[in-house]
Amino acid sequence: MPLYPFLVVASILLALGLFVVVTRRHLIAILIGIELILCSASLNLVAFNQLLHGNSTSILEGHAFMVLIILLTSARVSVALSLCFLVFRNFNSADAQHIMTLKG
Amino acid sequence: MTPSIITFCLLTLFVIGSGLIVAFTKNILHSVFGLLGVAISMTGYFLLLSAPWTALIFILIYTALTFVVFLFVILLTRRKEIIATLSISHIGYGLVLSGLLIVFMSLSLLQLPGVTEIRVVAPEMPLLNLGKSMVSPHFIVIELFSLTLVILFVGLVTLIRREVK
Repeated sequence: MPLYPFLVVASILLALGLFVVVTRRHLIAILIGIELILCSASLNLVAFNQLLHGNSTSILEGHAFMVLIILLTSARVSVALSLCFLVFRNFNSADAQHIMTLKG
Repeated sequence: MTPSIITFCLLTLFVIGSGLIVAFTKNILHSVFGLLGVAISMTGYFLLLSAPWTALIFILIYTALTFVVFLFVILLTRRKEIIATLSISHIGYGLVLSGLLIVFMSLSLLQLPGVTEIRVVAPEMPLLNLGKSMVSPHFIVIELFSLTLVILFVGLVTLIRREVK
């Protein structure tokens, strides 16, 4: 199985994630777009590990970094969704354009 | 057509379909289910890339946790708030940015030396080597991440906790 189709799929996921982040105004939808981008990054890390250390069975740094990304993403999702919940409680809306308190 | 290529094609159809659901559906709940489809397809990709333990970690920790947390937050919001329309004025920007990104990534991919000849190779002991890669050179980074996670969760509890008088 060749490697480059995985990189193409990662590019498509990255473009879809960016599209979601740019076009959506709902906070949870924006977070879902960022999740798509992180899925693309995870796939890239594992694929590039094969690209760089394909024949070596002792170097799995891409996989290790992917596990770190998973940990970081889990924490980020928890914190960001709790912030969304807090915004929803205070502003009574989850629309990003309604949150203008810091604009002055 | 080998079985791995057929599996890859099916997974790609599924992941693009799920990604389009995430991008264009109005209901946030459907978007979360689309994200779940993408995550399950990613697990299949990791298995195809000969990374079974990474796939296991991905589906057990990332997919399950993310899905459950998203569902909880959606359950806690009002029913009318789960409808999220696309911002019509930003669709053009989104299409242009995504198109530029795909063109840039395709050009970068074509410039990688010998990228079309590289094949996926199965490692012999992925779990042991993954543990060695995580612990030996990145031990301090992992410890710092753990500390950061603890601080984040304490802050999270402080933020969410209601004032009880």
